[in-house]
Amino acid sequence: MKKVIYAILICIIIAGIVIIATMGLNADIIYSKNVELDVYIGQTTNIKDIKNIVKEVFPGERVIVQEIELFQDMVSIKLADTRSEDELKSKAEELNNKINEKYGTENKADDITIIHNPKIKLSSIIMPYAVTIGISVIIILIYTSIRYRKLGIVNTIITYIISIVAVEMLLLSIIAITRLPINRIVIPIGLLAFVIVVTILGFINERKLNVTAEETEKKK
Amino acid sequence: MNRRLEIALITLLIILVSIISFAGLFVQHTKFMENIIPEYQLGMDLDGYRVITVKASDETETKYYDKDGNEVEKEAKDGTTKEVPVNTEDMLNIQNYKKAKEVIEKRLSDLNIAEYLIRLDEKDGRITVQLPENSMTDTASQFLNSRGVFTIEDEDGNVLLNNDNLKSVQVGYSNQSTSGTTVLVRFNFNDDSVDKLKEISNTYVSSTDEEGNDTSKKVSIKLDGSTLISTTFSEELANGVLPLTLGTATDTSTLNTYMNQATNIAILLNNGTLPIEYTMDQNRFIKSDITMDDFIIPAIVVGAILLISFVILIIRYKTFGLLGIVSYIGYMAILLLIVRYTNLIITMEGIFGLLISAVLNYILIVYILETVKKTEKDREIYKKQFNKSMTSIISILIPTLIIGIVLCFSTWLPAYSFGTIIFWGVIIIAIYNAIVTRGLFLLNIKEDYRI
Repeated sequence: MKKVIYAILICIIIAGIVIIATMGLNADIIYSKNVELDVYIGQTTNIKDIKNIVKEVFPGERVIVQEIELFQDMVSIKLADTRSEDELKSKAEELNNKINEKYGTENKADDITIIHNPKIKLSSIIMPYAVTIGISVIIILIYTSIRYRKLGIVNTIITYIISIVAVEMLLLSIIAITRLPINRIVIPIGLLAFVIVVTILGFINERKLNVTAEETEKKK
Repeated sequence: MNRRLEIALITLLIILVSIISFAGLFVQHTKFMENIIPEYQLGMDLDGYRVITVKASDETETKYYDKDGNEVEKEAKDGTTKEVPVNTEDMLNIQNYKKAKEVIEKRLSDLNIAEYLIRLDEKDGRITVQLPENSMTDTASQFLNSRGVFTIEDEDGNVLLNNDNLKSVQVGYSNQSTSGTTVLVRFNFNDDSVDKLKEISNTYVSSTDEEGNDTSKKVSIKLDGSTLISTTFSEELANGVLPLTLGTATDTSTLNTYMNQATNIAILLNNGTLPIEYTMDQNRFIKSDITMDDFIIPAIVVGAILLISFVILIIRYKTFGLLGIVSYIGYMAILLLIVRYTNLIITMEGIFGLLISAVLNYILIVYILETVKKTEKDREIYKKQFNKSMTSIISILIPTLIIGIVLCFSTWLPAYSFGTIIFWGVIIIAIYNAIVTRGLFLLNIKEDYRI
């Protein structure tokens, strides 16, 4: 049974690597190329109402609505940059009409600023963690090889390295295969997985250490 | 003191600390009640950020030519003028755009901006930077479109030395002056320019003619076209170092101002020049898209899990389980108070750090409760077993503590936030449980409660 599970996990990781190498990861619109519509409404608005209007204009799409500055009279609407300029203008017109209808304003669609934002390199978000996580792993390996030396230094080090790499790769592969967007919670989840792995390995090794100690005591 | 009373007092104390931590401590301040517990500091993801966009300048500058067609500094008699773009067409290319992004990133890094996101439009060189809104934001914004062109020019505008001659720029201060602390910027020139600087320092000296008129030949030290100083040299600079005094201060505030100015010059010049002229296009604050509403469902889920976990504790461990819950709530209250008082900036990673700390503490409490069960409620055995369990659990938590400590040294805010919270989380788990949880459980074990 164990072998089957390992085989499945290895397959998932390989599939993930292939997908990452060929298609790359799917970035969320906060990191990917996006289009931003900046709408000045001219009076205090409720962000919830604007979100509802935006949902009507861009149904079923991932859209981010944010207030610009602190006066609650201007919003930024970000969505995937997949439309032509004409389609965007038409959507801006529709959005403007609905906002005018809701707030009784007479804003013009031409006043909506359309900005095409380039993507953010995912490496620039991941790289700041590389050095610190690398150092953490090295120190953890030194610590565990001392603490669990009775269980075999090489064995402990290999177990930790394989477990950490496998879990992180598995996580990344699942994200790649399922095309889940890389968003703000992916890195925290990766960190969470890292902590979970070292904690579980700690529990397993402590138990093994206790068993070994008890056996030694019994022999005496 | 009666054990039950002691338990009640400790419980009350924990409840009090929890109320203060979760709800705040309000005191009358003029007409209003004011919370004297510091507010949570939120990161860019949760609070909002400044978006600054710089674009390649499409401005033009006037060039002056003499009657022979040679370019001159000022309008010449019978000469001509021509409007030319500050960025010529051959300057506007992807290599320069990438170089500009690289220079900006280095500057932000030297400014210790703990978190930023940068986007480059490779088609037109537009660079958009997301920065956290704090006291450094405005300073940082100036570094996005300052070219960092350094020149030493003679009175006719001829460039004697420039960025290519610079090796590094350092900030220093001297206390030798009786009038206060002097702040200096040291321009260190590269080996090829040492002789040139020596020659300049011997040429541009203070002098007067026979009639006493000033005939000094001055040089101007310029940064992005603005003159920092026009001066003569009083001594030969033979070692390739040009010290520039920014000012002398006797009070901390003025000293800090000079130090900041000096540091800004150093950061600007140590990271290279922007290959093209940039102008500010957009500079505005954007609120986070994560609102309180977005936290409602996760909060309900976490609350439900906690509730179920608490019920399990009570069913399985009875009064000990109840005391475990009290202790657990106290732990979370103390951790959150530390987060507030240490002014930790909470990012999305930080929230996960809090969750991890909460889970680890729950696991530890269960571990201790199992110990209580195994000891058959004998106080002495309990003490021994508790110490043994604590040693085990601390050994298990040390790798997590290592992660926390290492990430505490990160200059990247999300990593720092996660690391610091994890660090405090584990430290408090060890100290708090060794004192409070252990004490509470011990009090609940009756001396005559032996099987």
